[in-house]
Amino acid sequence: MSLDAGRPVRLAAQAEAAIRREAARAYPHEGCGALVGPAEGEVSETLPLANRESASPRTRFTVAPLDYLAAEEGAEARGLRLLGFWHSHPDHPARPSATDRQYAWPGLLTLVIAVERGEPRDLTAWDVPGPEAPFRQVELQVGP
Amino acid sequence: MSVRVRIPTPLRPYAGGRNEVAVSATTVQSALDALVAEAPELRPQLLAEDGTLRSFVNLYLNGEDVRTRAGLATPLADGDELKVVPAIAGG
Repeated sequence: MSLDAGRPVRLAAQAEAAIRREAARAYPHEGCGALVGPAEGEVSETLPLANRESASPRTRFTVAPLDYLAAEEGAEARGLRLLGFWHSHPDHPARPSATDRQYAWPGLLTLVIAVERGEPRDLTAWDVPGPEAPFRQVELQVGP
Repeated sequence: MSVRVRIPTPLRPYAGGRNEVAVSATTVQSALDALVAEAPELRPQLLAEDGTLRSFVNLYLNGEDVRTRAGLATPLADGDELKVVPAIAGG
C-alpha cells in the first residue's frame, strides 16, 4: 500500500524531462500529470493532465475525475499501473503544502517540482505511509 | 440487479486488492451498502460518519457524476458500472 521505507523511486529520464517541460509550459499556473509504470516505485512515463482549477490555478491544481479515470484505465489497458501524480509549485519550494496533504492518498506517489520564474528546478518525491500519516520524502533516482 | 463497482488504485488495498467488486443493488446507496458489507475497510474511505459520501470521493455512473443526478438515490440498471474516483488536487 505504501512504498517501503527507504526504497527509492525510479523515474525514467524521458519522464523527468516531460515533467520539467510541462511544468515550465504551465507557469505561472500549476501544472500536473499522472505517473505511470510497470510496478510500484518504477515510473516509466507521465501523462500530462489539464489543471482544472479555475479559481486559483497559480496556487492550486485539480485533476478532473474523468481525467483520472482516463489515466488509470488507459494505463491498465496497456498493462501498466497508475502510480501517482506530479504537480508544480510556481515560485515555491518543491515541498508538499498543507493543501497537498489534505488531498493525499496513501498508495499514490506524489512528485512536486519547483518552477522559479518559469525555470523548472528541484523535483522531489513523497508518499503517505498511512491514512493519518504526514508526507514522507523518498529518494528519487532518475535513469534510463 | 447485478452492478460492477470499479475500485481506484489507492482504495484497492481496502478491497483485498481487487479493482472491481460485483454487487447486487438497485440504487447507488444500496450498491455502496453491499460494497462496504463485502469490504468493510472501505467504509471510512468512502463514507463520512453520518453515512454521506466523503467530499474526497466521487462516484461516476455511465460517465456522469451521481451528485449531478439523484446522488445516492440514483437508480441503477442491470449491468451498470459504478466507478469510484478519488479527488486528486492540491496546492
